[in-house]
Amino acid sequence: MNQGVLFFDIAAIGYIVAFLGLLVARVIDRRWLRTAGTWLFATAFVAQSVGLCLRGIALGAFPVTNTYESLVFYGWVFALGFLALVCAGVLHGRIREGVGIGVGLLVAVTMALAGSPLRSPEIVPLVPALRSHWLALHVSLVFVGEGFFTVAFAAGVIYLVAARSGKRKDDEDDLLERLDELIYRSIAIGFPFFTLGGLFFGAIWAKHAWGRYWGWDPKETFMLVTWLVYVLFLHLRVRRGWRGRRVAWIAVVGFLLALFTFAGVNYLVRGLHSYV
Amino acid sequence: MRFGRATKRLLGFLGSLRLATLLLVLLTLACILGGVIPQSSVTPNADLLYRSYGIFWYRLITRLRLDDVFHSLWLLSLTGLFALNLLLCTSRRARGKIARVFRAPGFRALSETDSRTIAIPFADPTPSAFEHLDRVVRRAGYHRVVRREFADGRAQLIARRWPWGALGADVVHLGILVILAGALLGVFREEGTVRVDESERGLLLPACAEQDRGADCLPFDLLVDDFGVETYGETGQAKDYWAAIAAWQGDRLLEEARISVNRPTTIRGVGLYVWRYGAEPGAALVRLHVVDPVRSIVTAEVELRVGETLPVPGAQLWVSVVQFYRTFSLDEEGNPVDLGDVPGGHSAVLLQVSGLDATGEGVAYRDLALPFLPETTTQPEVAFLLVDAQVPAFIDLHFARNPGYPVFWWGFVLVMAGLAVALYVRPSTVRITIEPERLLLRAEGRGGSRRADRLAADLATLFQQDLLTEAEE
Repeated sequence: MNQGVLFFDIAAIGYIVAFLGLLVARVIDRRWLRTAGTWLFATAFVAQSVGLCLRGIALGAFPVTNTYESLVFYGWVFALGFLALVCAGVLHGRIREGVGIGVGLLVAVTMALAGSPLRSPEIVPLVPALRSHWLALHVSLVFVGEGFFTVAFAAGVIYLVAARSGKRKDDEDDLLERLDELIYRSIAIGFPFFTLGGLFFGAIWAKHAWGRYWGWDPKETFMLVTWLVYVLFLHLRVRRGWRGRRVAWIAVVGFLLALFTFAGVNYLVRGLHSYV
Repeated sequence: MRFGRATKRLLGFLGSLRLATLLLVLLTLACILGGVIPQSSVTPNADLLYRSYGIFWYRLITRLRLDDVFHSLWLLSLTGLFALNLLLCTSRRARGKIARVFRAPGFRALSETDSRTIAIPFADPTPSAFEHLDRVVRRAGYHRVVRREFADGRAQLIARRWPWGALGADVVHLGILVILAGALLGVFREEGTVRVDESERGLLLPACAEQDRGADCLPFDLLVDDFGVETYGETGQAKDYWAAIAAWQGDRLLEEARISVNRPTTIRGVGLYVWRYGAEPGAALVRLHVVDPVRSIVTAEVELRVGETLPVPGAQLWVSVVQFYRTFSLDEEGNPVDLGDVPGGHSAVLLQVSGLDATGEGVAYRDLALPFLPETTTQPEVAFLLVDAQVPAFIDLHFARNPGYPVFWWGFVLVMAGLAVALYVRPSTVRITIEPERLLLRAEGRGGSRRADRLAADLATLFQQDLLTEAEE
């Protein structure tokens, strides 16, 4: 049983082509290519969504029960975050193109990782610990939060690359200002989801399953570390008025920590959250 | 309360953003250390692990309590300081903010030279202007409109939208303080684990009986009527572990419940959870065939538990079961290991046989024609074959009573409500000065000057539309 895999393969190819299209559009500055890249990205997203639905129906649960499904869902949320910001009119022109390249690359990488021979796409029955409605709430909200953090990360990386050149034109200054605003907005949108899903719903589920809200399991600890870094970001950005490179760096570090919490902790530190 | 200058400065520092930033960085680093270094409270034999890092690291880890970061005094002190910082910061800021929410905003003169002020031509007298403006600002979602007319003929209208939105961050702080208070109350928690094996099915475990199991007392007698595992039909894989329990107080039944993983119950404030389910190879009951290796016939049958020693019928020998392996295997160094329940694996027992002048030890397999032949010299040779083994199942029930739990809930609610307000609700104030022949309009609020200018422009457009509609009517 490996429902949805065909759609995931189609989506993976779509994301890779969309990423390359947006990249070429940036180099040769062709508007039609940029539009085509964004539409292809959206089409790949639809294919991925269909695949996830099919898998969820076959599994009878939210499809985030193993690393394969989590990677696919993780990529889906990155794409959702990007498309949500495009539809909301937050991303335009070159910023849309730049963030699209970053997010497209990340989604393509997650899909490629999911499709690697190391991850089995087979549907495996749920272990007792995962048979809970909190699974969907906990994992999906964390991923929604992290989807927005990914957009902030992509914007942060673009910011840091763009800010490297010494002399800048006025329109480049405007671009940097918009990127800075995008970093803040993405984190401001994603942070409450991450807090609710990751910390609070996770704690409530832990209470149901293990009889305590918090147990300093490595996954919980690194979730808290990531949360603290974003708390630091918000305080420094909103209260101390930090702008530019410094907050872009924090957004990058925060995302890398989120990535480590998702993928790294399972392999490097053994804990209660070690599911394959 | 009056404080001296030094005390004020100290309180100012303790409630400052600078200290908050420093503490957030330190707490983050402490959590990283605690997440990376194996904690002695979680990892068995962590002490041996630190020794393997070398003497320098071993000393550093143990002296700084990095082996148990989350219970160390230094981390608790940092957390305490963080709570104090939050408390002082919130109390200082919230007082002024609450006053501003409930108090009418002060009037301020607007100047045309200010780039953020929008001028709109308008010729109506003040009462009519107020009427228009009132309508427009209310339509734009503004409330608490304040009007004031000055002696020189000018007038000002001030309207606010979501002024309570300024309190969001303070509500988050309050929520975190409540969560920390809940954690503090957790000091008074009672928790423990009761292991019930198959032989105890249907037995009433009296209150506090679990003390000799290394757990705290339950405030009631517990009857574990039955327990088991639910499996997926097609694969046989475990789907859920469950236990049918009943709580008794003397002769009175308090509650009956069926609990399983993720579906606990609470009786008299005590949460009961299915913690673990498994088999206990250490309590296995094994059946051995005693075989005459020369004639290949079974001469006797012995049934004994792991750890038991019994005489072998028809031979002056004693046999004891040292260990039972659900799936027998050998590790890299040739030592026997139990791989657990592996489909297709062979179970085995490690036997020790003693005679009058010799002792032998070896492995007898199940389902394999490899009988264990002890090397006793003075006795007639016998061989052993493992025929059957019953491994008793057990279930671990965890119980916990923590007075901090209800407090956590309120903390969660406050933090989430505060975050939603702090990040998504943007309070704004608009001031409109009515001058002869024109209006001056300026907006202020969270979200930066760009957003304030957009708000002011939107209002100006709305106002002009209102004028047009009125003219058409």
